[in-house]
Amino acid sequence: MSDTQHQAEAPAFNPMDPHGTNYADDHHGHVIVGWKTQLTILVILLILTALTVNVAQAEAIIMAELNIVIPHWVNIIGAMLIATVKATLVCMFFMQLKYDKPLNSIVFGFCLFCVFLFLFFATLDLTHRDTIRPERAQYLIAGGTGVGLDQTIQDNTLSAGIGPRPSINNQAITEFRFEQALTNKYHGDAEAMWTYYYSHQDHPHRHEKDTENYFHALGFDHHEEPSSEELSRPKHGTTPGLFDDRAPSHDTHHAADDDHAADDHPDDHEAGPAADTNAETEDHTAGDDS
Amino acid sequence: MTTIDAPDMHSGHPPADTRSKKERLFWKNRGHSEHFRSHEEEFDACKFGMWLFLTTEVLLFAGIFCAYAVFRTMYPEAWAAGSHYLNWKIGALNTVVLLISSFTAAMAVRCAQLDQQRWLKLNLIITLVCAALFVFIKLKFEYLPKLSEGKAPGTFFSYPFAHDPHEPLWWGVYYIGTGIHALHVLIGAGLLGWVLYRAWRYKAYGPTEYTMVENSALYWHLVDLVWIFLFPLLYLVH
Repeated sequence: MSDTQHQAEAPAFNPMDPHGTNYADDHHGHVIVGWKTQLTILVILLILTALTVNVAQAEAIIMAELNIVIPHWVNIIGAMLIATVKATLVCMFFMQLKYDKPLNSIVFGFCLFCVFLFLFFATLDLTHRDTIRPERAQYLIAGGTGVGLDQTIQDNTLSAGIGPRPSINNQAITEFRFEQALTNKYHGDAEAMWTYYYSHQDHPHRHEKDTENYFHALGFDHHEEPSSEELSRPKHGTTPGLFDDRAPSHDTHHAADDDHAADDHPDDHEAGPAADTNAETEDHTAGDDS
Repeated sequence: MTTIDAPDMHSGHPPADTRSKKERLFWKNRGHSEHFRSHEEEFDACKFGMWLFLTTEVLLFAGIFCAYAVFRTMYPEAWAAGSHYLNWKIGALNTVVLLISSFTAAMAVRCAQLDQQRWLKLNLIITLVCAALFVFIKLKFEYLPKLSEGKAPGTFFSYPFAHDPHEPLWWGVYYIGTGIHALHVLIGAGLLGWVLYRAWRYKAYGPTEYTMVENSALYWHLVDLVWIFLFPLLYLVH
């Protein structure tokens, strides 16, 4: 670090003042870190921030486009490695541990070691916390629940397990809130509820609680599953020209099945292909009617 | 020999300081406490004390990171769903804001060491503006919209469209982690605001007197340090 400066060095030993008690010229040897150094560190930190964001984005794109499932630990380890590099830079240069007395670094390092101990022992048995290995079973004795550990705990209030306990009608709070909102806020109108939900998402996906598939019926899935030469998917809504790519000539491979329906409804291009595809037919019709 | 003014001379009280507060707090007129040999030693002791305090802060946040690690391993679906509720762009923006403020805080220390009073004040002001920006973004684009939707921790949870029954737990870790961090932002801004006030009014900090600037900046860097880990864990990891 060429642009760091050292303040004046301490004077030579003074026999009249061996402990430097009266030495008034303070702050000898303190380093003044140069602004170029700090600015470089800032730029590196910003680049690393962009990098960690792009790594997460790149993984999401790879998973979506190429159908490659990247294990979770890649994501976590990558992000944590970049974060550790960033934290080290902040500690060394912004917090000046690089130029400081080593005692401060030792204290901080010991603290980080303690953090490691916390994390290590807290997560040590996570993968088999609820299981009893057969070779260890004979050493286990009944605990405070009053029942053997190899028996199912009958009374849930005695369970030491962490997690949502059965509350109202044995529901988790998330289930309860769902039904509460449906009853109280939307007065049982599931369509209104799902319309609200899907219209407030940037890129809506079908919600697993949407058992009636309002996602389809309300026409929110046309971004997700576009039609192609091989597979026609119904589209919904009143957008002009939305059905232009579904002209009968494109459905020639369905001609044998569709002839009858197409003749009956020459203006309705969807009737033919929709009739032989799948359950989407009903949703599609419902969407048109609404 | 006893004189009439002897009791005053040997009572142990220093003569009354007749200087104004502005003169006393001017950095060139600052001495060191009597129980230290020199200002140098006092500075080192103060800074070491600050580092000891920072370790306790790290351990405070370590509890939250521990809860994050344990609950994430137990309920990965809830954590994946929770991470998708957050907008990484807002988190990244706040990261940039904090990194810039950390740089200006480090620059403030340098300006105090070099007796650049105008730049010291300017750097502190930029740091404070960044702190306000951080809290504003957090409240306006994160806390308030999410709370109004019912995405609240634990028993306050009322969001109807949860994907996983353990999402209230995710929000608990999210709010306690970012909330305690935001509290530290406010405290750090308070410290730096105090430094700015004294620099402005008394020219209290200079090459031989910048302990308060240094320690406040250290606190601010710790706030930055915690966010460096909170940001990827909450917003990016899925």
